[in-house]
Amino acid sequence: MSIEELIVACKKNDREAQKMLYRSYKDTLYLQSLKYSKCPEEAEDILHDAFITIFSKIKSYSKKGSFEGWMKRIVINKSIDNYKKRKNLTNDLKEHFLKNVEADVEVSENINISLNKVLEYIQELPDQYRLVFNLYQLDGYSHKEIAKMLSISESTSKSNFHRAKLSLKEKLQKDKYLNLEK
Amino acid sequence: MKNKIDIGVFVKRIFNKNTNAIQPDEKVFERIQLSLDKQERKKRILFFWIAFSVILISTSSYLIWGNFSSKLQSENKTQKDESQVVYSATEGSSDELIGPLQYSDMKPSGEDEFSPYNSTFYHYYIIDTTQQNVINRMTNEERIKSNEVNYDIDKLFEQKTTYYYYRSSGDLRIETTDKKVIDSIMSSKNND
Repeated sequence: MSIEELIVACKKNDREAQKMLYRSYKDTLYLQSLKYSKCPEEAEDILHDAFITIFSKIKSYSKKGSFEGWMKRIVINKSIDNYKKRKNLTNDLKEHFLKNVEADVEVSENINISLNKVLEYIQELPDQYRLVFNLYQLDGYSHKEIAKMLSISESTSKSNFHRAKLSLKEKLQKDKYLNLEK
Repeated sequence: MKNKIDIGVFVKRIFNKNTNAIQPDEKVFERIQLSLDKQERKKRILFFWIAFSVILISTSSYLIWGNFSSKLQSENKTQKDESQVVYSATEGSSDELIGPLQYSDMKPSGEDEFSPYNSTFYHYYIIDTTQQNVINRMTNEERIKSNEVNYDIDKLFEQKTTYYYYRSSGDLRIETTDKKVIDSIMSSKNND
């Protein structure tokens, strides 16, 4: 069944088609939710909520842009919702200080590191850094768009992004990945 | 020589190389299915309640309105039936009629009883509605005279088949279908 046929069947609430759609995109969307969450459990919750929204709103999918992009955007929105809910409870950003803000954020392109380890580092970032880093670096949003999405200023978005990169480099250094550069 | 790149670009490359590397727990789809079932059930229950409320509201308004309109219809029908009697009995002058009044309507409780004797009309018409005929017509004086010797008009109204009708001209029309009443009037006329 082609993706178009799957979409049509899902619009008719066909359970088998929903299952097939889930199987086709679960890994991509799970990775998307993993990088926006603190842990795998939270990522699974985001994935769950995102798929419920996908199946409920699939009738409104207007074929503008790719279907995968539309689904990824739903995952991002769910992640932002999650962050905003959590933001009301705690503000971990205030407690996070980086000593050397002006430091270089370049690394060797030959570092041998697994995806899981990189994910772990990203998940350890403070919520706002993680969101800004993912949105800007991995999903291609501009700082202007990010500022609007997270209700922060554009300069805050830029500084959060830079700090996120510094933090990631610190983690690589701490685990001696930078010393093992080939 | 070590090629240096921005750490953000480095991370992005790792992600792009491994898009399907990590899989979610199989139970996630079970949870999604359960949630979808729950959502579906909620929709059905909501739909049922909306449909039930619509049916309930429309039925009750139908009953209330139906009851009201049937009452209205029966009132109209009574009026129509009565006016038909009036029209048939007063050809050509029905527009002068104020309306049919039954004998009981003319006897307000606690007040002086209505009686054609105590009221002054220009004319008294006794109408045989079975024949559509005026069987007697009297002036007030004639009525007073005839009353002494002939028939008691007031007694006519004890018969359920006899009715008063006022006319705007000041006449009283007395309609009857009672054969005994008609015979009595006819015989008294003959005696005159």
